[in-house]
Amino acid sequence: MDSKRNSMITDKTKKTKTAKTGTMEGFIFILILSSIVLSLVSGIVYAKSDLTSGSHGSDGDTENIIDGKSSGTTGNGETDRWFDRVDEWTDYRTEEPIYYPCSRCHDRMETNTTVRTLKDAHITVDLKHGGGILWCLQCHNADDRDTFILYNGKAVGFDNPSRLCGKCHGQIYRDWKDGIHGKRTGSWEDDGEKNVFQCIKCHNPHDPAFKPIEPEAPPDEPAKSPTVGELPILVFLGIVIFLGLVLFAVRR
Amino acid sequence: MPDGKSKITRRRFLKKMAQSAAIIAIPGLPPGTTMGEILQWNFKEMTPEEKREAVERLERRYREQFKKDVTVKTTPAREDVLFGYALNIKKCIGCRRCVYACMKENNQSRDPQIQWIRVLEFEDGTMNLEESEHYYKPEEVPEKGHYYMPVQCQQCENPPCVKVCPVQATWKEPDGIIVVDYNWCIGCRFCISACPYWARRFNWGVPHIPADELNTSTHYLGNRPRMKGVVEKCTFCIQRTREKGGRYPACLEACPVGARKFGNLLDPNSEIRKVIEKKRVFRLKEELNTEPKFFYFMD
Repeated sequence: MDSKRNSMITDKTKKTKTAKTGTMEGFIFILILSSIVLSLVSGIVYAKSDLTSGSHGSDGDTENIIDGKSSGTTGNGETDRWFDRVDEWTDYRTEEPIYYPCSRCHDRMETNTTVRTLKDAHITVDLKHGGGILWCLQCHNADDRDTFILYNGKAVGFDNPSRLCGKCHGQIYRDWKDGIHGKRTGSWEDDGEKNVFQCIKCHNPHDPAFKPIEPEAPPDEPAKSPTVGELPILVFLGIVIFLGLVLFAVRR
Repeated sequence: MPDGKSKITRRRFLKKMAQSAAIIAIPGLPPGTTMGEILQWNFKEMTPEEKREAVERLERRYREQFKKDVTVKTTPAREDVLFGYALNIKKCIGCRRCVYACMKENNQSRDPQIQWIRVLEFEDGTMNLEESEHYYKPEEVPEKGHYYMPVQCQQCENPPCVKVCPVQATWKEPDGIIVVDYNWCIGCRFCISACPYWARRFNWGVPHIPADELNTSTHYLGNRPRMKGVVEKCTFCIQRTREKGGRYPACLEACPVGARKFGNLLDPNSEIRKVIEKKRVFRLKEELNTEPKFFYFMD
């Protein structure tokens, strides 16, 4: 009799115990399952979405720069802002001197070799070459204005201006002939068709120093956290941490 | 059904499905992707016939995607050519024209933005790559007291990225260019973590290129439009440099100060060889023994 009652009591307690643990386990199980499902769902949503740069800065900038209007990107001989030397003596596109031959006027004039700043003519030429230590007749041939003059007295024609630059800038002239200095477009092959830019294509002989220019836009900065892609992980972690706290509070 | 007719029908049906099914269910795949493109093998192991088929599939897909006729070349490497690049950091003014010319020539995604070339700004007298400025935006360049160093794929002779690729989707071609087969790449990004120069870029999202800015002259291993989930990087403009009468890369032609030099390292008369012989050249992270073919020099 007693044993039966005892067993009934034990059975009851067993039952209640099972019932309690059953509910708790079931609750936790459902929470874990739902967090996995939620993570999967948000993962699929993320994968289907176009990950566009929501938090990136420069929006309009990129479009403007690649629309072909920006200078110097085509490299087919079209010039950048400071290739645009509007110089009085040569058209930079055709390389044809505008007031050539110079002897047309200078044959009728007396040669004045006094170093001075010209006031009556050629006033558009702002001679900055050499920081003020040069004047016209150090490059232009005093005896024949259709040519330039070298240190040994030889004359160089307008068709070979780089040789004149080599008069003082010898190392750069040699580097230019080797292709180390200066810009070239076309073929990398030795005997390929190359477009070798003359010195004066980039440098204004009267003011050769390059002026600073505006740079193109910087790259987009990386997105700040958290991003859409981190959503499923955050959801899962959040639920796991919440569960852990709940369990800790309950189990004590 | 036991009669012979339906057996043939079923086989033919499955074959047709395999060849022409358009897969749109898997997110990230571009529209027009066929089963054939998904099942194609590594480019290195394709027969010429398979390469032709792959090119046809791609050209068809690009026509559908961009409404433009895109040519995909598979020009192989030339004999006796090993490409090298040199950059004059004394001349570079940090204008970033090369970055955007490269984007246009090589069909890089505008949104999310991918740029193969990154120009670093250093203070005069320092050369700490980790402390360089990437996002400089002054009114005018060059900024006083600074110098600039553009970095792109160094096309190493001993590339760490090739060593770590688990599927051999990236390899060194005979002319020295490290290439990626975008259809074989699984997007694990081991190569990105292996590269010491941060030269590689990953397509985290679907790449977007406006159709009117698309460069339609492409190479299979180079500038053809990529997909979400693949790695891409500078290929020395493989679609230009390998052609007959090989052209300079786009970045070289865009540089307004002539800081960039390119050529065949095996040709003793080439510009690049003259640079290496006559100027003080150095390479980045020399101690890692990656043997880059991208040299920097001053003059």
